[in-house]
Amino acid sequence: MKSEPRSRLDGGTIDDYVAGYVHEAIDDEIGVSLASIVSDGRRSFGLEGDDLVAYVRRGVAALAAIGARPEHWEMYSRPGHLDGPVHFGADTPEEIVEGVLAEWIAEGMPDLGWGDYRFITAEGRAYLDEVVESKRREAAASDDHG
Amino acid sequence: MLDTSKSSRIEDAERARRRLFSEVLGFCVELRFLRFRYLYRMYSPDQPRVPAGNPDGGQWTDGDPTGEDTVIDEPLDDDFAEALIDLIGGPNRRQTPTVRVGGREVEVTPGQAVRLEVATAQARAAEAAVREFDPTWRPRASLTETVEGEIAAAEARRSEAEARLMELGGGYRAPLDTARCLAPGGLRLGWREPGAGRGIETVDRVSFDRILSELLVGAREVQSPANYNGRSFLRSDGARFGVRWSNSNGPTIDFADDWFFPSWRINKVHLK
Repeated sequence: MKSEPRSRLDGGTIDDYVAGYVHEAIDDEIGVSLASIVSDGRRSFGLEGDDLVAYVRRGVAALAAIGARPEHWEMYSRPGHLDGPVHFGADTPEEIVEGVLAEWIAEGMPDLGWGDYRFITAEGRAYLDEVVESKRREAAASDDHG
Repeated sequence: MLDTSKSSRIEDAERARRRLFSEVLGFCVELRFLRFRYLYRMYSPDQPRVPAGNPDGGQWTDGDPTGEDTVIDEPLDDDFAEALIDLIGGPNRRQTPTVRVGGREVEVTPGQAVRLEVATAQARAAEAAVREFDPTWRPRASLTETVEGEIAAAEARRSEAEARLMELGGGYRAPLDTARCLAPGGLRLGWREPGAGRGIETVDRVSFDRILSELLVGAREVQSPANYNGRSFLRSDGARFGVRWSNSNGPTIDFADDWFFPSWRINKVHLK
């Protein structure tokens, strides 16, 4: 019987790690990047090929299932990943999972940047919009006084 | 007279209470996640679907060979997501930033809170550099009544310390490698909260201040990503990090790259 993989780093199971992504996406407005999922699969569990794809699929499926949606943050992402949400069809969780996986595999399953496919919940996005708007207003006020 | 041993015991008890609360919270999240997996099964492309033409066509089934297929559910379960968010008090749990100004707590904007964290950490680093040459040196005291005054005072302390350092011939202090800022001497300064993702390090105020001050030595502020709710910096060893006010976790340091240690990695530091 094949035993369940354990993290080389801390002995955690894949379920532990996936639960951590869900927790982080809900707990923090900037969400979780696909870069972390790929890095964990590759470095913590030593996965490659189909095993790595299966691991990434589980992570992305869990995030899509709680309503987190992917977006690129261009400054810390791969070339061509422009700022903004990444849409796949009608953006059902299933389409998101398949779409993200297909794009990542087509790119050669690279390690990713912090800004690549950040999974952000609707609540997180609403908060970020507020803060970004507040930053814009503060900058405008500062320009007016300067 | 302040009873320091009593005060210390109260702080220890408060830390223990918070740690216990976090553990219970993490346990609850893991339980809910297990329930989620049990009810909805982690998405698998090989999982059987109800055939097209059926009212539930395309939905996941348990593949019952009797033909009495049971639709498990749509993969997205709003009730579950909302329950989980309620449970851990995630994005809805707003932490209004407050800082202590002139002996009282004042509400500030997230932007002001970040500017104050950064200005104070930079001042602290400059003062520490001076004290390596002149252990008794202290910057001039200042009284402030607003958060903007507090930020200006921190910036003035930094300028004063840098001027003093030039007088002493100290001039330049080489920054520590980022790995050494995060784990001086290889020692872990924080912990992973139960249930939290890997890479998320939680530290106390003393360690947070120490890490941020060290990271900012020689760091250059750079443009932040449009969506990032904080300020970004580039270190001389190439490390990129940001400082922001997290909606539910307060002061936070984000790293653009993972930092690996023997049994943990760090890409985010929260203050507890």
